[in-house]
Amino acid sequence: MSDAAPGRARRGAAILALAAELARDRLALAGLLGLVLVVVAAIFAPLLAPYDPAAQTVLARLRPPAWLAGGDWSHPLGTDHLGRDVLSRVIHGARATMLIGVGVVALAGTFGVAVGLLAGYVGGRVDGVLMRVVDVQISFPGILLILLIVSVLGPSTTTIVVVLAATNWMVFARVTRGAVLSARRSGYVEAAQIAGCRDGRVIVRHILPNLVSPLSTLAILEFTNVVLAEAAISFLGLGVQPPATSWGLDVASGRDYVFVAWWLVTFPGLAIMATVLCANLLASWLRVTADPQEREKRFARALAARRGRARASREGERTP
Amino acid sequence: MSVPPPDSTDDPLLAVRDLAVRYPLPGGFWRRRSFEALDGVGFEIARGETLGLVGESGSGKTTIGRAVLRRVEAHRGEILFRGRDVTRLRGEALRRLRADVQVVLQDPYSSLNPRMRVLDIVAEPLVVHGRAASREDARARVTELLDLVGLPKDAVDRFPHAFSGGQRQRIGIARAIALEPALIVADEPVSALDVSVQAQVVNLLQDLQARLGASYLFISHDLAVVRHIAHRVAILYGGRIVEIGPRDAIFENPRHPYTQALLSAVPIADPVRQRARRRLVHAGEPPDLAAPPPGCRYQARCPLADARCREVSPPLAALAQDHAVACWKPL
Repeated sequence: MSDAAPGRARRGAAILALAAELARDRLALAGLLGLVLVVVAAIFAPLLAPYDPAAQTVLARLRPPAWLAGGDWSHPLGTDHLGRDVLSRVIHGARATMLIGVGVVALAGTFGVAVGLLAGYVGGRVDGVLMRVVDVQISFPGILLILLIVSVLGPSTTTIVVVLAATNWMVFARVTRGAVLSARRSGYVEAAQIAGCRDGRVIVRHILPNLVSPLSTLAILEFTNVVLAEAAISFLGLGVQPPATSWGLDVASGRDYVFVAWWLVTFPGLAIMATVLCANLLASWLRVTADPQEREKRFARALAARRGRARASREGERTP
Repeated sequence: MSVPPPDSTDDPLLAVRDLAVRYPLPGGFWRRRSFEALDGVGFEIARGETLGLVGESGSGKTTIGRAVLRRVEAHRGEILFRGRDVTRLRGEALRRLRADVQVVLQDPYSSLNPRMRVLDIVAEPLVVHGRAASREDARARVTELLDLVGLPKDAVDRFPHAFSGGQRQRIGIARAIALEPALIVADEPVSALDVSVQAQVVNLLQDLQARLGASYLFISHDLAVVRHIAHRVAILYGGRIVEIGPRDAIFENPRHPYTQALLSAVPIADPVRQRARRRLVHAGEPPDLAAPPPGCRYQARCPLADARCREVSPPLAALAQDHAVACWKPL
């Protein structure tokens, strides 16, 4: 097709413009870089980590971080109660944590959004039945379901992802249904239907864009939830199995030593917090970018700030 | 212009016969209760004609528009478009009908998707009905349409929030005429606008009708606007048409007590004449449409109502050429 080439060029230009817009927002850029760092750490963990995360050194138990008395640079973030290097464990822990966190949010999100879309768009009896299923699932104690499934299937990363998705999709369904219901009653959806749009087009063009901001916020909150839930399951011995490790598992197992060796819970905990913070910064940028009105306001503010700075510097030159 | 329709041009474009619409009421598990929004409504619209639909809140004027647009199901009766029964049309056939029956919605703020550019909003009907060969073609057509409704060319790449209410309604009108439909349902198209802008939009609708030859079903509670734009007028009360006829007949010589009361409520922009005229006030409430009383719907407020009015509902009967009234005692 002759249309394809200019189409691709236009898309390329649009992506470049978007990247430039992201680069102007320092916080969002920091968030993106932080997330990239975590992903890189997860992928190249064996190359980056100074030690095998499972290697025990009984002679070097509970070493403090390098900058404290008694610590040294052979273990920059200290060692745990079995003499394992904390830095190496944090780097390796990124693997399980990111895999499970992203996997669960993707799986639960996809399923929950599909259910919510169906319930909200079709309405009527379908809506009633699906939402009662959600109610039942919410009232069912999650930890019981997790124990049940894990003890039947046996612990593995796949099992954890499936189990956590099975206990976390309902909130996606509810939020999606609410947003779909309000969008479906809006004038522009009615206009689109009267214009002759098929249902698929109405959903993709007119309803889904309304979900970007609530769902990106929700997905990030759920990500933190999942990281902590995974820690809880791992703590019970049903999650990530040693010698593999995750941030949640380390936080859980470091709890017993929190008064003698604070670094055991602190560094994996900081890793969780930093990851979530980065994701949040990026999501709030995404929320504004997905809304044309907010986006233009941001653009205008940036322009005004730039003019203000230029004026201030001109006046600064004149005074001396 | 599209190809002329194959059917005879003597037929009315739209004919609605004995239309009834019921909305379900909440509650009532064993016996579903419903609300009779429309009962036995019938009218016709000729090609290029504007029928003004007037009535107070709850009289069913929006429901008629929604039924013609096939947004609500008819409980009884039929809707004929170009002589073809479209009352039960579904799926792809209904979607094709939509190309010929378009809408201008009341609220210009909610009726445009805030995340889409004007280009995409106005081009959407063209795209979904396969009338735009390419993006460039769609862009050219949209620019043309925007020019037709009096918007600048550079509007295409902007978002709806950059426009005022009147401009937004022009965008909505451009979208409605994009497919050159034979019928446009205008559901209170100017009631959400400033008075100064209302006249511009009404005049635009009139100009477009002269150019495109579309028929309008013009729903409004504003008698002055209807008098300006409509060729014929139907007055609704309690889900029924109480009077229908040519505009001048309705406004100069109203025959139904309700129409008279309604017209006497319109202020005249002349204090001397306004003070001198007699204001008819028929106190009372509209009937409960969940359990409508037998007889005339206006009986509770009508000063002339007698036993027959309370028992037998008056049929819509022609009094003069094209002027019909549903009243046992037309004035």
